[in-house]
Amino acid sequence: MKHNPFRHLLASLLFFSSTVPTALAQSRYVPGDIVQNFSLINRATGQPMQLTDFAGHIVFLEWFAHWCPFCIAAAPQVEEGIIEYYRERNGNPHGVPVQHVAINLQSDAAARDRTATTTFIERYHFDPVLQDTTRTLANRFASSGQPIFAIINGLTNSPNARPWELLFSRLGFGSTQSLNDFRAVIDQVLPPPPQLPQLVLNPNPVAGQFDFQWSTPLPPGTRIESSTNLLVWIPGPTLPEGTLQWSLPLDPTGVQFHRLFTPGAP
Amino acid sequence: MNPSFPLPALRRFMPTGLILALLHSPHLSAAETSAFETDFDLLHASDISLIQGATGAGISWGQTFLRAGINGGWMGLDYQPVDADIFGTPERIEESRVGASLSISRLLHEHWTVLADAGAYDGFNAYRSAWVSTWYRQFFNGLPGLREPDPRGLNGSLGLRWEYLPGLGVLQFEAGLASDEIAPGYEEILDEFGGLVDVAPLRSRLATQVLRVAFENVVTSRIRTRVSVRMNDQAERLARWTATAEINASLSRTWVLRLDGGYAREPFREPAQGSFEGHWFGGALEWQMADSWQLILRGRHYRDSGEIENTLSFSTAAPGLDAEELGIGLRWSSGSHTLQIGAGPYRTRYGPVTFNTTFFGNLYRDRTFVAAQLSYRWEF
Repeated sequence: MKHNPFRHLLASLLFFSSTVPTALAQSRYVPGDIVQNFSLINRATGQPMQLTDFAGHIVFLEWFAHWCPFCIAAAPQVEEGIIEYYRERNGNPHGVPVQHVAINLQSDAAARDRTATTTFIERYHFDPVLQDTTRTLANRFASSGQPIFAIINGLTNSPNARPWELLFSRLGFGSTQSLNDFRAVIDQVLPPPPQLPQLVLNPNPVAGQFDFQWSTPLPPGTRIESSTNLLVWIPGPTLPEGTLQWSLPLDPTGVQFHRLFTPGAP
Repeated sequence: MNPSFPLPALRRFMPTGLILALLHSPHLSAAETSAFETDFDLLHASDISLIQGATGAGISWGQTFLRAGINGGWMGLDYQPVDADIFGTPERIEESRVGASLSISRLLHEHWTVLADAGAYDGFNAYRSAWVSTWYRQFFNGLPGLREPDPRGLNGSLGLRWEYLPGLGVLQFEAGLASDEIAPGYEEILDEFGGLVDVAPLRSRLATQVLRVAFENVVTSRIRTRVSVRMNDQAERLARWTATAEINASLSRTWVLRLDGGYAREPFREPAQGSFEGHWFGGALEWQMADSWQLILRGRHYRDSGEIENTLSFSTAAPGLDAEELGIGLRWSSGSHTLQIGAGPYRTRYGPVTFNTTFFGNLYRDRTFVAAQLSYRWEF
């Protein structure tokens, strides 16, 4: 057949147009990626669960198969070193709760597997357990094998992690050092900064002053700063604890901006 | 017979590392006397009992010496899975083994002797194999690819002995082959999604080539030495080299001191994993306390670095082992009859199991065995 370069080009374009998006869609996550929301069946209830159901938590995913020796060997260590560890401490050192989510890789089609997986789950008190028996989600984290671990930030306003950012993933559980690796990642996730108290500006031209009011305790050292250009801030008085109202003299020379400033706060 | 150290017969049931410690080369210059001999050995710990015995007879017939023997053993193990092994259940394991051996040597020339021997066995050679096999059976219970283990083996060797200094120096060379059908490990057969559908046995037949060269010399009228180097080359492994040295010294008319030591090394296939290394030393002091009675005190220390360890994959390999043995024995000799009994503690201390050998924490746990031996020899 006569070679037609345009046909070849067209075929190539068609090929890439059909395969590239698929390839991109199935690319493997690496730490720093934003994990797309997924939906898997909860093995206990038969109802779908989504990643977003765990919003507000650090999400610890653990893929396992009942016949995998490393999964069995890892499970008790994860139970003690992650699940119970953070449950007893009410979350990580910054108070962010940690949610363990087990994900089963072995099909329940055979009675032997169904029983063994249930035994596995009950032994290590896994809850919830999601089903990923076609590795649809697992393949986004590892090409093959198990156990797979992934740590995802489920906080929306953490100052050092983006929402649904993959913080860590690993195939295999080599030693107890793995627990230390997991904890190092979990422990660094910071909660959203505390909301500063709602200020009520109450200019009182007659009295020639601003009245500041706040309704919640302030961090120690919080002070009022003033600026006329929002670039240079002039420290004002440090606010004493327990004070509910403070007044500043109104500067008649120009517009003033005021802010609450806590040294050392993120 | 090796009167000072009857434990070697137990090596068939002992951890691989200890086998090296207990390997004793035959007495090169031992008189090939027609004799009947039998021995029994016992090792007993709280969860493991090992018994074995061997009986044989050798006959000199002109320039030919023929020896035939049978041997057998029994082991009883209280198999206990580790806590993490959620599919394992405690189980009583009892296995037996039978074997036979035949050796022949013939003087070819004034100082040259040709040697040949052959052996066969049927049954588990080591309690470790039976333990690991049980773990596989329980772990993959119900899968069609699992099969009943049927360990057995054949071995044979040819050698040449040269008495290069008549009555004073002997050089012996041996080359041997062994073929062992072992209880296999298993690998998983997975479906397209990585789910387990079956298991397939890994290599179950092992071929081993053995080369050994040994010197024995009478250094003085009171001192005899023996040095040997052995190479074991087994399928899928690099060669293991073992060197041993022994010295027997007659301290006086009533005291004999026997010392021995050895070193073994096997590089692992992955250079980063290092190598297996083991060493041992021991001794026995024999006191002729009466015309027919000898008292024997003995001790031995053994240490190795552990078998192949790949931290990335599941493994049944033994961690490093330290072992000590002490014993006291009594030998009675009268005319052509010799009877010996002995007993003592034998302690094993393993290094910690690593994550990939975690399922075998109860196999490789420290134990203190009671070892006992009984042997009898009649020369005719």
